[in-house]
Amino acid sequence: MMLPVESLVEGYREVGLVVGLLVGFGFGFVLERAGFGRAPKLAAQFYLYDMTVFKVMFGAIVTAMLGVVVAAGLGLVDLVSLSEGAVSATYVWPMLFGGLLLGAGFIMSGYCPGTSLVGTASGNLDALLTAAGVLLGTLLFGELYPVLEGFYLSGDKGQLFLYQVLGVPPEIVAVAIALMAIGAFVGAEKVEKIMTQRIAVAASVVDEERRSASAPRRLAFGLYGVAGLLAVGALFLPVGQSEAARPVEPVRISPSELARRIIDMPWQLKIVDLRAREACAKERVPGAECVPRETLGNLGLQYSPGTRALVLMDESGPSSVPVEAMGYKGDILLLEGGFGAWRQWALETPEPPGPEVSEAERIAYRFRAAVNGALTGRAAPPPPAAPVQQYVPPKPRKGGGCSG
Amino acid sequence: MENQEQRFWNPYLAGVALGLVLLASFLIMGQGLGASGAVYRFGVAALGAVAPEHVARNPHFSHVVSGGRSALDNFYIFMVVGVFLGGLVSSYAAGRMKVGVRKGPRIGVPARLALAVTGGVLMGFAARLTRGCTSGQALSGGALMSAGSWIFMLAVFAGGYAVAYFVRREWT
Amino acid sequence: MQEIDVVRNNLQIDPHLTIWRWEIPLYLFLGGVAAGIMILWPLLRMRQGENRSSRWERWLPFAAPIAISIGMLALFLDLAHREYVFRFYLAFRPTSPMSWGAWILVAIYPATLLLGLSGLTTEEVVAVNAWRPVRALRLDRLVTWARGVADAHRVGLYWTNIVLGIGLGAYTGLLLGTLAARPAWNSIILAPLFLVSGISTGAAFMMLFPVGEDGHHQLRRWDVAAIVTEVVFVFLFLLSLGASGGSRGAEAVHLFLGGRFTAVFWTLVVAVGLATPLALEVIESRRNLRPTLLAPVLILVGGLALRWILVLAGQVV
Repeated sequence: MMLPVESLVEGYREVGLVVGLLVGFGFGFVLERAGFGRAPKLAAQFYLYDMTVFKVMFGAIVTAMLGVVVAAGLGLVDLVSLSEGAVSATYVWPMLFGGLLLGAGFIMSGYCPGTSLVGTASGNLDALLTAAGVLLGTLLFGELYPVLEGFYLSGDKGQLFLYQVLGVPPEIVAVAIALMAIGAFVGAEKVEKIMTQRIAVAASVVDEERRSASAPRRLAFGLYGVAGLLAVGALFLPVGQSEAARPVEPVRISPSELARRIIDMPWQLKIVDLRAREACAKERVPGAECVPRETLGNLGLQYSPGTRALVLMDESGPSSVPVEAMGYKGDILLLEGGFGAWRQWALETPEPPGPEVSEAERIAYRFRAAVNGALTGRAAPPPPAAPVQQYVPPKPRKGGGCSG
Repeated sequence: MENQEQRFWNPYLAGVALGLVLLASFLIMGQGLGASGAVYRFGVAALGAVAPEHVARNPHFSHVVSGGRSALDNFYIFMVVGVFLGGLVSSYAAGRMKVGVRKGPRIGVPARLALAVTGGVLMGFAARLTRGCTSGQALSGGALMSAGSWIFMLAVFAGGYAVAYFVRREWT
Repeated sequence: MQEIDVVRNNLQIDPHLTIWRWEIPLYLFLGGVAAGIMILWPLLRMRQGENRSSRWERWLPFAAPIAISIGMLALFLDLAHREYVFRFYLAFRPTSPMSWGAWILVAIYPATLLLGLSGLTTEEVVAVNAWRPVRALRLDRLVTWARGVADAHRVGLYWTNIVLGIGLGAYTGLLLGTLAARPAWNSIILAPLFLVSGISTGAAFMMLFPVGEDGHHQLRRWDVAAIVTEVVFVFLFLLSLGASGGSRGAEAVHLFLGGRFTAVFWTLVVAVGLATPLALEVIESRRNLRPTLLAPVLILVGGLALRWILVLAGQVV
């Protein structure tokens, strides 16, 4: 992935801050140009006679959304990692309640936090006081945080995106949102026409000539159309598909491979046994945690660093990666055949192979017998003797280093 | 002297322009736009200058000053400085820069200012609760199709319309 | 100020200099503003003629000695050996910019006070003489005499102030620039950079006052020219750091191009202090808009930030 430019966050962090300044300049400039430095223009949204807020906001969302999806389709950027880096996790209740509260504050002050800064820059004292209020409000929340922490963390869904909820590719969601936005824009203009006649103050806020201009609207909608087509086209690009979402194709691991990894590097594994607690308590893979399937969400796998490979098993599978584990950043391995396969492989005394087996099979048997012995305390019958090999003394090395 | 104000941009074009700014931020920095977080950091920095132990004790304050960095040494702080400069240049160039109070015809200045502060406090409080304001959650999160951001956005509009009736004298 | 002069250019003597705090940047900033006033006010006068000035404009030259006094107070607070301050004035060392500065400061007081007196109307001189401290100290005769001298040598006085102003502005840069041991200051470009920045901040300071439409117009033109020149010198400064100092020089450049001071430098100095006010002033003159106080305020903020950041940066590397 070429983008985003990682070095602006890491090594050249200071340059990244300057980029932030430039982006902010564009942000402030456009907000002011749209008329968002003035409270009556913003408040008009809620009296329906001037829906500029709605149009600008959704226009921006649709533009950026289609842009990101197209960029992801072209392989410039990884949609999921970008999204997870740029957006907070979803906490249903605080977001719902906080949104209502913020909406109330919006109509009372006539600004939102960002536009209050632009309003201040253009000399509006009401905007200055709003910005001061925002500052006080954030500090107030900080002071009350110990009390509010429970609510702040309630309804935790982790990083959740609409395309995960709906189970369709992000490109389709983006195009659907764009189509709905265009429909809503057309509807908004009808409502505006009706409400402008009803509310006296509308004439002083609304710029009728500018609003009814159809050329810019056609241009904007045309842009959305082109970007939407590109986004849908990206669905059929091989590069776009592999990057669009996390590869949900699970990686399977055989019991013998799992045993080998447990012996070699147990610290690189996080083994989670999804069976019922009683079954797991009775017998389990060495080092496994007993986490019944229904409590898997409590592990917060999406927040763990993902430095260890996650191994999941239930009695005979699982057949696919559980939803709660999808956010896990590291590798996810599913035990092939589940714990049943493990039991059969590791806990039942193996039959020794016949004398006509290959070297590899002989080694595999010895390994399995050793594991079985270690786990059960029973000794498996010895393997057939290996064919005797002639001892060949190593050739003396020519030349020589310090050691001769 | 010419004092005529320029007209605002067409909302659809402004929307596309804002979207391109947001897209640039996503693609270059991997970050969205934001405002309330930076305002919060200013507040914490000011509080930290007055009462450093108080800030260190509260987990919600101390996490923005962790890592040995000042609360002001942050991407969004620089962004907000840019927002202010951008607003300054734009409003001045359009002849819109004027010191005054913006309100509807049926409300006095003191009442308008009181509502402005109250609304600001509500928004600041709410923006911490929702981990972002209209810029950081609704705009940036909405563009990335985050479920929480869309819940938030719909709630903002719902809250606004619900209260609009009660403050109609402020605006109409 | 601990005396650090040109002979101490061995890095081992002052490996980490963290003894200069807010006092020195403030002093350099106020010195620059004073230098700007001393250069621009006579030029404005010569351009406008004597009789077309506003009341505010006539009193402006007195801001120069006031600014210098506040700056010197800051400097005095920073001195390590305050009781020996008089020793600056017992010797003159041509190789020491500190010595030059000390003597320029002495010459500035009479020059700027005379400049101020020369600009006042007769009634205003009477008002000065009636001012209680002047009466109490029986300075009225001195004032009247000085006014006579100033009137007689008006043009000479103007040029004296301009030359002294250039000297003061350049000296504020030289003061840092001659400390060869500090890579981030080791550039002769600092002298002209601080001089044009001083002119720009001086113009900005004057524009804060109602100097009349004509005066404002003229100051704005000079300010735009000064800012553009300053941008050039900022680039030359970074270039000269990189070109001069080997690995230490590269380290010094890196401070502003990717290192610790990058963000504050480009934000406060370039964006806030140069680019935005330049844009505002150009728009103002192009579109003939009502002047805004914002551009001057931003320029003053940027001028202070420039000196502050450079003083800090020089002590880091």
